[in-house]
Amino acid sequence: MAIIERPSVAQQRWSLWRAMVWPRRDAAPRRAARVPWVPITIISVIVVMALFAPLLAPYSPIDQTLRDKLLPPAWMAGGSDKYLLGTDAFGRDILSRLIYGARVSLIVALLALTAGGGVGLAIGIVAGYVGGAVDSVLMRLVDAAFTFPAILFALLLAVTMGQGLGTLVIAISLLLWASFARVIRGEVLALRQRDFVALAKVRGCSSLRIMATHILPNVLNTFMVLVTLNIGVVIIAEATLSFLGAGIPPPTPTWGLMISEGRGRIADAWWVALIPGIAITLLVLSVNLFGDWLRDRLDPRLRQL
Amino acid sequence: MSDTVLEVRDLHTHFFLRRGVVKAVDGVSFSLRRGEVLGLVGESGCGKSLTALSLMRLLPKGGARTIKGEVLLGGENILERTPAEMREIRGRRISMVLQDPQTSLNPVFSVGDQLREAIERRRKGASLSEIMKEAVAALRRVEIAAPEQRIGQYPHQMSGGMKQRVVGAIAISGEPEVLIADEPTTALDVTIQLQYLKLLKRLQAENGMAILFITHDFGVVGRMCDRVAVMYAGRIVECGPVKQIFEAPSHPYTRALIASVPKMTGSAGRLTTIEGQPPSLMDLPAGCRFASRCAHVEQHCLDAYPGTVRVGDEHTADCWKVSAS
Amino acid sequence: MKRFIARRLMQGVVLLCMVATIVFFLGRLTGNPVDLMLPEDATPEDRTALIQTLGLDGPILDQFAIFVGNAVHGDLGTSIRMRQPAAEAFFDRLPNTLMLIPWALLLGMMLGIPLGVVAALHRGGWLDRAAGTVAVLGVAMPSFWLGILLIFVFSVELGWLPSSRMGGPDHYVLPVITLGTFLVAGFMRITRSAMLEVMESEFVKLARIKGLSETTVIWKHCLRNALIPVLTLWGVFVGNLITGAIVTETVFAWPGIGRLTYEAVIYRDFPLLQAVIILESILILAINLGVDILYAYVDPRIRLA
Repeated sequence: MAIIERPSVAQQRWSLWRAMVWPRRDAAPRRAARVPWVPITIISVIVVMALFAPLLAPYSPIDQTLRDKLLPPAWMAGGSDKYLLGTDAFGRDILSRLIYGARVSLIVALLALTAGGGVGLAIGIVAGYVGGAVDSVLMRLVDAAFTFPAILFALLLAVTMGQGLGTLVIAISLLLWASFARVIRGEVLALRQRDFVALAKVRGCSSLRIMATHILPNVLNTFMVLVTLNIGVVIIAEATLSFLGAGIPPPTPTWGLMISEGRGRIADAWWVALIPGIAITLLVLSVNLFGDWLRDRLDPRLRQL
Repeated sequence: MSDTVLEVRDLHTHFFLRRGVVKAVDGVSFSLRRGEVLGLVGESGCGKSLTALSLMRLLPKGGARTIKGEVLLGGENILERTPAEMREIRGRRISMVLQDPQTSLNPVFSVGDQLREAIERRRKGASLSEIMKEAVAALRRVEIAAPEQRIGQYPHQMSGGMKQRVVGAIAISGEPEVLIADEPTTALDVTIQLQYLKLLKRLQAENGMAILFITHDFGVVGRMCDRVAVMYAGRIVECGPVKQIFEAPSHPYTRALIASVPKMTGSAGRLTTIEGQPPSLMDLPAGCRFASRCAHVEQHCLDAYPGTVRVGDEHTADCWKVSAS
Repeated sequence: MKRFIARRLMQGVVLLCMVATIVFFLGRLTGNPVDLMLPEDATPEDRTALIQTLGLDGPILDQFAIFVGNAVHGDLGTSIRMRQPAAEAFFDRLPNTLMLIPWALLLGMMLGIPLGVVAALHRGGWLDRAAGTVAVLGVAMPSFWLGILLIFVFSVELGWLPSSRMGGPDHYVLPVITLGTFLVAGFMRITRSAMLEVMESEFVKLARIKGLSETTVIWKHCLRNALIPVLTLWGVFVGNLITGAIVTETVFAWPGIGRLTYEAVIYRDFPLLQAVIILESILILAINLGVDILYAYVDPRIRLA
């Protein structure tokens, strides 16, 4: 008997997966989405922190002052006014490390989203426009990428290539490209049917030219929404890899590494591990809420993302 | 009249949306007698289906509310019943066949399971084998071949026509007094349509239930119904025995509808269409709702809604241009 | 049904070959893999011996053939640190992880599915919004940080539960919560959206027309249909569970395969990491196959196709 026509299990998984990773709040009749000022403020503060880290940080994030090690935050008993959020086991100021850590998170996010998102964009356009065997091979690859957790390959990369920014960016790009490719391909499939594409073909434009000048500009909105919705994914992935010893190597301060270093001290100095985690949670929460809003603003059709 | 099983009086069901109020059912009245088939005809979007759902008290989510009127089933107003009492009424006293057989059956339960649930309500305490025997009989009654085998099958293993028969079997298994059929044949092939209509007719003759037959197709009305009510923009504009309506339609809208039915007989029958669009249900005119499309429109048609005029023995119409008999 | 399983099995084998190929070539990305495979105190004789057994003096395709040949015979190399066959180390630790994962899945389903149903029933109400907030937070918190937070609250401050290693039932509580939180959020979200979709369907209307009680309509007719996508989530979560296990077992010093993966990374134990990744991929594929079969069983449309 013939296999009945219904979405493949892999496709269904993908739709579940995106619903999971990019939460959306769809309360019954949708109100005109309000501008999410609180998330925007939090994001702005963190971006400013990252941009002007050398000006804002009270101390060097790396220099050790062992005399002042493991001081609690200023508001606690035993805390010092000199260190607002306390110090770690090497006497480094946690606030300063937090400020510099924001840099790493945002740089990695920027690079990985450009690289991984860019590759996904290109693959999505080619698969959607060219179609046929090329499409099915590429989409099989995408399915495969969804089956295996990219973190495993990221760890392997860190061991074979050594830790560093480059490795980290490649590793996280592996995590991203498939979801980009799938969404963009869907968009392109719809665009391909439109008149202006047919017209361009009649005029004798090459496929490459059509993809670059007619298809690409039309999927940029979707691309931007995808980028926003994936910032949180990247930040969590970066922190996780840092925590597992596969991120940017010490002494460069990253939030994940700070949590990892503070883990053993949780009994006597909770602030070392818990404060960076609060920063991550706040940032990810904010970009996710912002991304939801942006998606609704830019492209209501994408609500099913 | 004592043989009236269902009487609807001045029913209003509106959608309360952020953008405004959609008056989808706006003052509908009709009655249904024992053993009668009443056709409810109109264009899509005129409020036929919502009238049916109002009678079942199964309004769609998202702001629909019945705000006024009475639905008298055997003399009692079911709009005043509690939800629990209403559940007892549904299936047992008033039931419904939905439009699309492809989605009306639950895909993960076998046909037998779904039929059983309905039969169990009537036969409380009966053993499983008794109920299954009855389920087989119910399938046989709707002319499904080899019901013993079909009973274990799942909806996706059946054709659309067969599924609609199963839906029919489920709907009448509670032996209801009133069956609402909401365009039951629209989604079926033409040949299957005829069979299904004949089946409905036969079932109705067998257990004497009243049928409210909703359709947009005047051709089907002639084949199925005893009386017909024509609905336009949330109201019934003309109501009467089928023969009278076909032979002497009073309302210009009814005339236009009948003219647009292709006739089998008569040569070179010219098909007419009705110009224009029905008014927005969110912004209804003060006067006659058909005025904007009516060829005989006059000033007073625009000023006030015409009252219901009795044009024949059982024949009424809402139009300024007809005179009472 | 047999054809369905056979097809899935074939796809699995293809995917596994892809994984093995990627792992093999990644190991050769940075020159001679022998340096990655031997401890630092290895003698030149050890080096030559290994080069010969792996055929590293031959062309790369021969090397790949040897690699695959060995792998098929269960030889996935020897761990540098533990001086033990890597596959053996993996299977020693596997039971400990398999004792953790089902509890996390159970927690996710027992909490997530009913919560999702309730949220759908009260769509837009305070219960729905509360559940939505929990879900958004659950995705925004890095799970390793959540684990540390739980240790801080329940082990350090309250002293109720042990913070690490395997042991009695109390040792399971915190790791299971850490691993399960993401699942609770996921199951809830998917159940909710699946329920909302099903509740609008015509067959639910027919069930109501039959006069069935609201309890039967919701928990039988709706939930059984909504469970189909929920079940697919199992497959999606397998990959996440493996990643989650790495993080959770690291935080709680749980001696499972996740912790083994982490150790392989921080000790730069390449042969072990390579073996662990291949074996974990097999595990993921096997569970996916199981889920596919289960899925076909629940959904008669697939079963009988």
